[in-house]
Amino acid sequence: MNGKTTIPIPPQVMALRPVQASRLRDLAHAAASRTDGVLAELVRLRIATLLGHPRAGIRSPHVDAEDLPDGKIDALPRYPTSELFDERERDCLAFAEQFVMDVANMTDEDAAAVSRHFDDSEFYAFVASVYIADYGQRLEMASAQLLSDPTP
Amino acid sequence: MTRGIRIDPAIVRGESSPVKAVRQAHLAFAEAVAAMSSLDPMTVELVRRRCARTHDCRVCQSIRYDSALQAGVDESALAKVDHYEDSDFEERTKVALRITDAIIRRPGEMSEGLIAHARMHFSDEELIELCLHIAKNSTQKIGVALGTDMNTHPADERGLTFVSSSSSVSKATYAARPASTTAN
Repeated sequence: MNGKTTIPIPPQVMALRPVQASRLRDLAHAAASRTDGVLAELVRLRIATLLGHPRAGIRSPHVDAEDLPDGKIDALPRYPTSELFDERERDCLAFAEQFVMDVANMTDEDAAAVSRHFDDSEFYAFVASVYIADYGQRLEMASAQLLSDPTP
Repeated sequence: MTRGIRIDPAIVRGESSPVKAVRQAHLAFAEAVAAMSSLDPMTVELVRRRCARTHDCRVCQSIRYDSALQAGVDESALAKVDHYEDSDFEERTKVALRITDAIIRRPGEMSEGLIAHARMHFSDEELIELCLHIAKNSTQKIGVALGTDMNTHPADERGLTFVSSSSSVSKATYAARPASTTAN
């Protein structure tokens, strides 16, 4: 199943820079249309925890419990050893962690561990979806702190 | 640590690529952000440099925009970015770079002092542009992760490429210039 956009555009960006907000949403849609939705949601949830996002652990409304059970979300911090995760999911989550925390020190081996699960176009779309999960949430957290919420 | 090419570059840039729409959306976002005008060119360029150095994006570190050079961002200014807290940058610039670091590293842990200084030195429109520039610059992470962040444009003997436009990625022209004709 390919995913829907699960990254909310911050209201401050929507209010002050609607064109740029729209382009960011377009990028999120384009990446999501080429990426497995459950995998993208697992990655988004893991990144939310790493970033300390206030809604970390809360599933997106675009992914229901039939596709992604609550027990699997609860087990996400233990993904390297939990039997609920397959090898592809473990490799992709480890890649996302490295991308978020220190992309400069990502090795060829780190990338190869993920790219073996995809063809090149799928790999590119997956990396773009990781970026969206990373920066969509960073942008949301930063704008919430720096600017007041423009919605009444 | 090694960083070879981890994907066929034609998949990213090719006209017939199955992920052409992703690439086009990426460029459209970058162009829309580059077209914003509330934030001054010097701050924009120094923030871009900070992102490039932190993410170790090779092509971003080798690009020099004419608009930034005209705003006074020469090699000396760029060299100060790594140790900006000890530099003679004005406080406003340091605040912009602290916000950059906070978003890149721990976006949930901006101190009250940093937030107060941000609001003191920047308008709401400038702050949202700053956040968007950091997000746009951080698309560098895609290229770094894929190993496609090498500079393929004409470059001078220092490896630097000069770009004639910062407002349109698709219309920009890239050129090498002798070191003697560039600011240093």
